[in-house]
Amino acid sequence: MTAPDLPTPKPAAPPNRRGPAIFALSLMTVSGALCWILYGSDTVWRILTEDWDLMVNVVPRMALGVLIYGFLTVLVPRDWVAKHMGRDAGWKGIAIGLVAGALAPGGPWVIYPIAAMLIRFGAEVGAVVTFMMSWSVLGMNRFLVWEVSFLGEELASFRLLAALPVPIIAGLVVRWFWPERAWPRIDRT
Amino acid sequence: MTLSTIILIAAAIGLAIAVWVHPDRKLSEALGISKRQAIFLIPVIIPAIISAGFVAQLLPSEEIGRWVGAESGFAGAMIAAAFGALMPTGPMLILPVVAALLSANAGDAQMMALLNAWMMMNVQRLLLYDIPLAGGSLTMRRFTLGLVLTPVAAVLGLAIVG
Repeated sequence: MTAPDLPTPKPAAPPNRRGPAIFALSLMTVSGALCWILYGSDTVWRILTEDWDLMVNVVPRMALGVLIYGFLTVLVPRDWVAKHMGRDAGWKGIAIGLVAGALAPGGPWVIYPIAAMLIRFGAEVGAVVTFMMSWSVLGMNRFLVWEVSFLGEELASFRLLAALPVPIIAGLVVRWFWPERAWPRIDRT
Repeated sequence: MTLSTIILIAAAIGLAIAVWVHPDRKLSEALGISKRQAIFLIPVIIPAIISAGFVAQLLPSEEIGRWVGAESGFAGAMIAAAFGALMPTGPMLILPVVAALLSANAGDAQMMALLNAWMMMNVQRLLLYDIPLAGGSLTMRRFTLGLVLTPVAAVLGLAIVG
């Protein structure tokens, strides 16, 4: 590797790690209790059996997704990405933003520091917007693990198809109509 | 075994080999990151999946069918999109909820619009992550684009699903 590695973003630690778990547990307790009161114990048992089928489908995928997440986090060559998303990169910058965004592992607490770092290391704003939009709507890990589990392959793929042009349009709109010189306030510290 | 499962398994194996042969990267480092992520996810996903069934039972399916059902068209997609933008949750909660909505008569294209809006312009993420980490200027561009592109994706979605 020729260029020095950019600093690794902080390990994936959402600021409030317990919040989602507490919310999910509360939702389970409240909705379960309501079902019991309104529809009786038979309905609750029937739903739990159906949930078990869903769980069998989701949990192995989740385990694979978590493994892939760890591998990608240590593999993604951030210096290479920043170098090739520069202001002269043209279509290549948009294309790299699209692919890197779709493959990028992790939640917003990982991706936003990377986007900020790309800007700081000289990436062009349109390419960075494509990167963030692509991560938002085309994220492959979320697609394969979560969306396919809960929506099924067909509906999940249709949604992906409908969203496919979005990151490219977004990047080009920013590049053509809202370029950096019109917005001098971007931090390049 | 479905195609997506095969892709996931192939990706996991391929990436594991890539990390293993990479001179500067350690497998143990990657597995440590995976372990932390799993410890975070397990207490969320299991209650979320159980909740999905209960929530589907409790949702008023007639009302949902009327507002965001398959017949509600573009207007229904925009109502669903507004919910998506405002719903403060991550994928491990919103996808079970969408699965519940789908089994309570919500339309396919409308739920696609909900998810697209949640991905592009979720308000909670905007306040917690976009503005502090990416700055107001970039956030402003991204959100404005989300406002324009959510309807575009909804029209495409309606065209695909019908």
